[in-house]
Amino acid sequence: MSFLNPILLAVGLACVAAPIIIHILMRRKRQPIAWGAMQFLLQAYQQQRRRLRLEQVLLLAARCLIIALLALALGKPVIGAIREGFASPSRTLYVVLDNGLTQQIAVPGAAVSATGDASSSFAMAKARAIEAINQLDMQRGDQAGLIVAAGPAQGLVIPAASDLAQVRRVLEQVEATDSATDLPAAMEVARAAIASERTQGDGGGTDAIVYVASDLRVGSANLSKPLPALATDPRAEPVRIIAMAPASSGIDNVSVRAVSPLRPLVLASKDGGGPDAGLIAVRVDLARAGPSVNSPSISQVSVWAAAAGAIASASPSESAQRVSVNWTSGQTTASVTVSLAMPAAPSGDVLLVARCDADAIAGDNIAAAPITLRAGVNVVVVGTLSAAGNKIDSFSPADWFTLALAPAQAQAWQRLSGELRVSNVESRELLGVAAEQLPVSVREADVIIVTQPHELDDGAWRALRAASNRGVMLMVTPSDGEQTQLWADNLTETLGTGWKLSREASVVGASGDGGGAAIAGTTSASANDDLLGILRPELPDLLRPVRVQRLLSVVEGSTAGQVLLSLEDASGSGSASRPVVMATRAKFERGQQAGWVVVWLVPPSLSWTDLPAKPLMVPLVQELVRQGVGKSVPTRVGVAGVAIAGTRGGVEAAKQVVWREEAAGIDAQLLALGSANATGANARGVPQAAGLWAMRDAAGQRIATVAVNADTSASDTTPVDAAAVEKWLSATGASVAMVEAGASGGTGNENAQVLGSSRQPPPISLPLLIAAAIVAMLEALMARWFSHATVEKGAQGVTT
Amino acid sequence: MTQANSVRLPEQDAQLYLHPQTLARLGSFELRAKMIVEGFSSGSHASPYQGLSVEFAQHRPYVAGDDLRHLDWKVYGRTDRLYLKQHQQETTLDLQILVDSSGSMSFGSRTFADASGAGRDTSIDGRMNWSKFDHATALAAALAYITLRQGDRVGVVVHADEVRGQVKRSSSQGTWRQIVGVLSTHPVEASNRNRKGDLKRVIDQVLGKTTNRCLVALITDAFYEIEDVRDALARLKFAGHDVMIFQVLDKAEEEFAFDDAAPFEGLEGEATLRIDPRALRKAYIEAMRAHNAELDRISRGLGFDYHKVSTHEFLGPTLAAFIAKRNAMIRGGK
Repeated sequence: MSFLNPILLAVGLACVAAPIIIHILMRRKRQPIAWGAMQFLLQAYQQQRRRLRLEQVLLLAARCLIIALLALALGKPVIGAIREGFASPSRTLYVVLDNGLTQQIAVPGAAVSATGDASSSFAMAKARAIEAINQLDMQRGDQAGLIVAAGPAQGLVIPAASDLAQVRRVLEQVEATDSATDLPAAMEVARAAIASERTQGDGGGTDAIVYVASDLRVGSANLSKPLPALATDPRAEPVRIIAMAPASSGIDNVSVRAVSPLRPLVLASKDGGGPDAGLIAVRVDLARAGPSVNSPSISQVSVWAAAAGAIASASPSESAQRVSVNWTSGQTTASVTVSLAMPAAPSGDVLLVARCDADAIAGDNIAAAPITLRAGVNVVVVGTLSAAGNKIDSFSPADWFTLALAPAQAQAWQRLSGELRVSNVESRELLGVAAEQLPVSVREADVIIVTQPHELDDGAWRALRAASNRGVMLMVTPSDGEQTQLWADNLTETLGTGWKLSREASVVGASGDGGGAAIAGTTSASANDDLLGILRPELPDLLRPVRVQRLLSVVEGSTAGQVLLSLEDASGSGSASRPVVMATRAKFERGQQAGWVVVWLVPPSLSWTDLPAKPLMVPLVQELVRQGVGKSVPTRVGVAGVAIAGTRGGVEAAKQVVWREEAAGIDAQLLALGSANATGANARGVPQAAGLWAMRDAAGQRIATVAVNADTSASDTTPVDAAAVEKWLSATGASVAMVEAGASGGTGNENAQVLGSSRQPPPISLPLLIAAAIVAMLEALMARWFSHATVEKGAQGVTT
Repeated sequence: MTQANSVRLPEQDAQLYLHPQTLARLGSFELRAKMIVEGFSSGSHASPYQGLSVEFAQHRPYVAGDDLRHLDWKVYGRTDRLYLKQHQQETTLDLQILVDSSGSMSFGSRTFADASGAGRDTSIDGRMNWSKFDHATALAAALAYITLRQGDRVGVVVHADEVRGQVKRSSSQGTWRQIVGVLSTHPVEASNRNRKGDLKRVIDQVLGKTTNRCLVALITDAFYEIEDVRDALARLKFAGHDVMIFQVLDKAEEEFAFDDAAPFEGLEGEATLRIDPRALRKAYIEAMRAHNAELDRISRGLGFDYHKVSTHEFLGPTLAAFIAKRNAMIRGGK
């Protein structure tokens, strides 16, 4: 039992002596009365002696009790004896430990202990959480659960365990991560745990407390996301939330949000000729937060590219470029573009790394992106080229594609030397051959363009499917000479695109005057999926002269992919305009994504459209090919705490490279860690530590190396208003109490008090005060009823 | 304090005991005994002893064994019958006054100024209060004075646990002075404090020196064990004495009207009792009343007179009521 006011208690208890002293003083003061008729007095006394003695003892006890009760009331038992005496509910403490990126904030001025702890917000939160657990009493039946809030939030000790020492050990082993704090998810874990505990248990009797150990800055407490209701059953014991008071001071922090090549496809040819040959254009996105946001400042960023093989030793290389970012007042995000020299290894994986100077949060100072350098892109056009010297009128779609891909190279051998190496294969070369007997160009192709799909048999489609699984981009156009397009079913079935195409082309637009229908813009797509890429700004101008006369239509599933180009809705009827070029990614059997599939509903043939003859043709095809190839490779950059797209979430990191600045002032290092999973990734295979991760599929097959960067959405160190946080937490239906975080970890005293009392305690204990008043009234009555008499000298006449 | 201050003569002190008002009331009464007490001198008291006397009482037939000296020869000569001639023997009243001076008699709640008719504020020994002993001596003096005025013999015994002062029975001129002297030179404070009275022993001592039958006036608060009182009274009865019991009580003792808790110190060496008087009042009064009732019952059983005297009342009315009652009884008895 502990008391709020131990000193008052001691003083009060000392006051118990008061009635005793008064009693002693009173018996001294009186002048004795000489009395003759002692005989009768003694007789009366002997008759009444037992009663008198009992009354006196009762009186003295009552008086002492009054004082003691008053003292207890003033001292106020925190875990009151009364509560302990009766059925005292055991407490279940759910520690929601924020180990997100924001918690990495180095505490300025804090001494770095031997273990490097106590220097960060996270270490402090951890210390406070341990203190909170220490306040629990195992003998009372208290339990503790542990939930780590860094996304994806998970319960480390759920349901709550009564082995508090074990919980403490688990808690001590929790490390800060680079992912963003997901308090709503953590609260949901707590809610589920509380609900299941209450349904399993005898209901009630347990005092559920959620202890939020976090700095609660903007980066970790997203007040726009509501928390789940913790206390849904109004009849059940209320749930309490004890939160560390939000940090009140802002800390400057600059984060590297992303580093990325300007174009997804980086070709390694140094002899390409242009001024950019041998250089990679890299874009670095930065963000800043903190009190100095409203003033101009300068940040230094180092950007470099390292060959994949040399990753482990990648402190900034000599080739690192150091650029300054000039922040204007109020500016919170910035981008810089840097041209980096190609690393020594001309092909294979290259890691782009950007690092800014050390600041409050170390985890978000570095970002990386692995890219694959390609010597060139192999494009195979499947179809028959027209004979040399033919006029434009008789150009086949294969001719037009070849022309568009390699406009400057007239000869076939010349076309094989550029960045886009275009070769031509007859459809029949794909028929009836095993995979390994396919033409070399097809086997090594990055892009396969099929212009006569009606000539392919099932085996050829399966070969295409296999190629697509490797990430090869497929482009299919209708056969320009055929009236009935029967291949459409094969396409849908084999590649699983989800479209159903009409088998007959229809005439669109007004006939005569060479009109046809105009092509309008396209639906927008996310940057990751946008095959039109840098062509998009100029698209309206390029599209304007293009007309379409005939067109296949999409019968079903037009929403299954993105519509790159569609007919202009001339009628204004509001009906969905007809797509002209559609794209999607083929699906693996297991749901993973393979290479891009682009379907043209109109072949580049003058009998269908005048597109081939217009300026749009060359940039459109080139961009589709480059973007398609660049984006066919699996995702290479992930965010800590977020499952990496395309990995089905079950991918395990077998070998990883994690970077983190160990302590302030030490250069960023790329640390090669031996084994996976032990740290950095949570149980669901979601990496929570920034670094390089080798992704493998379920069969153990390596898919790619992924750079996982810190979740910079959590980099915002701006403090949040405490009242707002309290309101946000209160929305869960729980009663909220805030405890000061304390600069040096606190004494734990405040924790204890908040843990102990479920409601805001009155300054003195009211029940005890009432009890004292009742006893005082009893005493007054007894003093009136009772009286006292004692024999001093044991003498004649008195026999005891 | 007694010797140094006692510049006054005992005669002067007697004024303290015989208040003029008291004497005025008493002068008109005769003190008569209920029973005929034998005495040496002739007086107004009839004696049951028929013997040599001047006043003829009766004749009765002779029976064998009678003293032939008492034969009335004149009657024999006239009637030839043997008659004895009997004479009424006249006696004097022998009054033996026993004044209790045990420790408890020193209690008194009345102020001296209020009680003494002499206009004094303090007693001879400087006390401010009118003690039961003061009252007892006044009563004793009054009785002695009346008796002496009748020409009867009076003796006084002041006693506590034993006889402490004594005036032998006498009706001579100096007796009054002696009595006053004894009563005033044996104050209870001086040496009797904390002395517990021993009535049986005192009675034994008195009886040892008293051969003839007396009227014994017991002036006491009777704070003895009731068994002792019974024994003592029974001895007096056995010795043929008549007894008047004057129980002197203070009003405070009867009412016990204390409110504040205080230690009560026994005057006869009892324990000090630290009590809240309110708590014990009822039981105390009951105990005292039971004691007094028992005393009354014993007295009546023995044919003695029991009279309660309060120190807060004048002696006169008390004595007057008492003597009137006695006279009525004597007349009625005859």
